Amino acid sequence: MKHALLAVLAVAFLALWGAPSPVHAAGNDLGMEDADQESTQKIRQANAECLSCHTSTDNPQPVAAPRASGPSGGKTAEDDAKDERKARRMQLVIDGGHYSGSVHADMSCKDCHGEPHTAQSKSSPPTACPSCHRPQRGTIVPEVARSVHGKDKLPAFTCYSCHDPHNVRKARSLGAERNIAARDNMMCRSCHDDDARYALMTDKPRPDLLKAHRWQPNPEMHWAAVRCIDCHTPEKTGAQPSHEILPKDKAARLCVDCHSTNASLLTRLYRHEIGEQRVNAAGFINAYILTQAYVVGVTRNQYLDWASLILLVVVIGGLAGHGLLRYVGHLARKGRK
Amino acid sequence: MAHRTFLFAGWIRLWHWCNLLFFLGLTLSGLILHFSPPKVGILDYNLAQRIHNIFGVALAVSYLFFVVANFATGNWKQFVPRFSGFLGQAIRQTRYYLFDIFFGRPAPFPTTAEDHFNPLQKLIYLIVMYVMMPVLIITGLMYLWPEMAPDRLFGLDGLLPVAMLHYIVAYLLILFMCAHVYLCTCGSSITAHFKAMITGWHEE
Repeated sequence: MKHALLAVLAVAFLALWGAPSPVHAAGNDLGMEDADQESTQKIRQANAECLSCHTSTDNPQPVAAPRASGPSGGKTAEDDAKDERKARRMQLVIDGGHYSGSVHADMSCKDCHGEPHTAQSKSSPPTACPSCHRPQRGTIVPEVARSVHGKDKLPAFTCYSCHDPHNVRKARSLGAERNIAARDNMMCRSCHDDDARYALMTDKPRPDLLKAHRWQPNPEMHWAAVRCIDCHTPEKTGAQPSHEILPKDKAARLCVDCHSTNASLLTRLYRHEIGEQRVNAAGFINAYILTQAYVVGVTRNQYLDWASLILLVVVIGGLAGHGLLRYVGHLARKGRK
Repeated sequence: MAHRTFLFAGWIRLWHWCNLLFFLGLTLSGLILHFSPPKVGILDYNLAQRIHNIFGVALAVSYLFFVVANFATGNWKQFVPRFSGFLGQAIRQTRYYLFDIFFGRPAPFPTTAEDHFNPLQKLIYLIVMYVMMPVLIITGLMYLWPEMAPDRLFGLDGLLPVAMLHYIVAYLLILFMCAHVYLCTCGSSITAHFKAMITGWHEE
């Protein structure tokens, strides 16, 4: 159990942070030496041998995806057994395309899976994530323990429940923030929007996502633009988002937290852009967000705001002056009578 | 005994005060949505967006009612300036506002049952009610249902021009409202025009 929890924590860190490749990021993070080109080539060749059987372009089923054991629907016991065997086979198949783009692509399969096709390899789980991601353990373990997933003590919940180690990519490599949001939100929605997968984790009824977010205008548009964790984790300094996933009563519910010029989004989803110029030549504040979305309260134009203020002063001043002159005229006429 | 003229039917008065209520709610909540200040009294951002969405739809419905009733009753004619000699009329009215009014001289185009508004009022009301209000409402509805807005425009989010237009038109209408309320003090007495919109009767 402890082993599994450690595995959860370390892999979870990887995808959420968009962690560097263990090989390329070298010893500074993971205590590993830089791999030279030749050894990388060798690793890739060796991996290609494994992947010649363990990939399927026809069935790009993530290796970590647990299979739903739903109702048989009139199937015989033999059909069920076939399905079970197929499901087990599918768990041994990964998407080669995804893997080649993953930060783990230059690691040998054996680094995690050990010597293949032995009795031991079939019975023991892959090497746990913290064996490489040891430095992050101290942060991630307590965060996960405090999260909804940790507090519920879900027996089947591991790093792999959220993070597919064969498809971990740096957030920056995904390009637009919408792509990052889509990738990260899929981690959450693959269970929280799927009854069968949710049931594999807990006996609790699955809350309907749309109903739970009805307080929010256009929830689907929010989900396409920002990540679940942008509201469902406490704000934290540094590049790594928290693994403390908050329940709905503790999640951010104040619109103004994001809808202001100093939005918390700037230290979360948009933290990569933080070095960019805050105000562009046309006067838009947080202008880099405009390529993604116009966000009310965040991307307003300061020239327009100044013009508004000047116009207001001119109009109110003009009306007040007009009123004063009318009053003076009225007094003058009254004095004459 | 002051001369009294009946100007405003019940539906116009009802619409006018509903419009005021919606517009005030939208102005206050809209400024909070745009400038995102810390909580103003009980009005925070969450409440402001609710008020803005509800009052926005209410304004759109009341505007639709206004347009339909305006055409059904023939009241629309009040908003159409007489084009022949309009420039001269506009200059006379402007001269009155900027000069004659301070000397207590009579207005060049007094209110009658046939002509509720002076030429400048007609032009401004025509622009406000038939150009600015539709733009405000359409952009507001696009904001409420952003899938109606263009997806991308010049490499930026398509909601950007919608949002800018909505803000600019709304702001100009707020300024119009300030001037409108002030000019309503320019009747035979300071309160005469306000009373007219309550009772329907205009007093000279």
